[in-house]
Amino acid sequence: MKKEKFSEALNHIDYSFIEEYVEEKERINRERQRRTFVKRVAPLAATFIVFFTVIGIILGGNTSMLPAVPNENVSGDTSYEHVYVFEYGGRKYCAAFMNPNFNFGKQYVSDELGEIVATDKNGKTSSHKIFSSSLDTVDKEVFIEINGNYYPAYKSNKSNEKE
Amino acid sequence: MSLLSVLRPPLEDAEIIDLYFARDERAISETDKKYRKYLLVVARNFVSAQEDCEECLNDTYVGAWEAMPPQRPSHLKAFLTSIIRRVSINKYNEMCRQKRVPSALTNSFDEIEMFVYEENASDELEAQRLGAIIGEYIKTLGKRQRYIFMSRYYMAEPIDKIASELSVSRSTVNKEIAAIKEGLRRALEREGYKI
Repeated sequence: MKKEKFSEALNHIDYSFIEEYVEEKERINRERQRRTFVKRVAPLAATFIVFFTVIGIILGGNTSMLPAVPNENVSGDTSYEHVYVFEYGGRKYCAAFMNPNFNFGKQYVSDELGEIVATDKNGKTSSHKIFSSSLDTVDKEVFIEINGNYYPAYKSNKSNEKE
Repeated sequence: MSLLSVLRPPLEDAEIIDLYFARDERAISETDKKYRKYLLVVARNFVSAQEDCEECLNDTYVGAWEAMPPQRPSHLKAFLTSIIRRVSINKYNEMCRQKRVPSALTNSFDEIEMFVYEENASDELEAQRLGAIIGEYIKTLGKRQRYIFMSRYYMAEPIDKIASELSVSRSTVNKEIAAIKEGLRRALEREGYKI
């Protein structure tokens, strides 16, 4: 009987506690469902991404990762201070930037000259580091790193470089 | 029930309540469509047999039909929860009198049995007073403790289920319950209950 009395007393608690409890339970259940969904779908999604990336690399020679810098805009736009040309996948690209954060000087402790940000044809941006084979000579070879590989580039006069 | 009505998404709570007020029997079928599964889970905490749960569910629908109107609940799910709890506990008490199989409620109630003396809660008025004291105490709890209190003592949910819902261990829930009980004991003592 004692238990029954306590239970009866709980019938008289403020109704707002029940509302709060029910809402909190709904929230917890939604959160658990979301977590379960993520737990089940994430590995599947990761597998798909890896699979299609590998297939893409095998079939397309990694061309989907190309930074497609628009040559047309570069050649006619005099606001760019520095234009580098490099070849990648049999095509010629321009890497153009207004204010490069590099300096050809002996004070550099690494051979990293700077970085460009390129936009691909889907609008996705990627950054690429620019290296020089020599720290103290402007005219030496310059390389652009794309996806871990280094591609030779040379400085353009920014007037007639076309793809 | 036609295929179309099965495929149609459930009505909003306000629409279902309007059906009750219009004394339209679809109110019951719409309530059943939307909350049947949830209400059966609640009933199962108190009475274990499926046919008893179904009976509680039907009594809940009758209770809702009789309560609306005049009552217009602001939160239909909470309203139905309070009804099915009451109905299920009545069923549980009836089963206890008949010495039928106990349920999860037995364990949950065993934990708080020490708090309640018959001379303190001997009638409806006393139950109301005790309810008010418990309500005041619940207000002092943190959000998680409040949830645990309601899960364990209002809904008689198993500790494992509460732990799983909160993504904590069973021992964490047990510790919280111990703290809640100790707090409740002090609150009741302050109000003159001898523990």
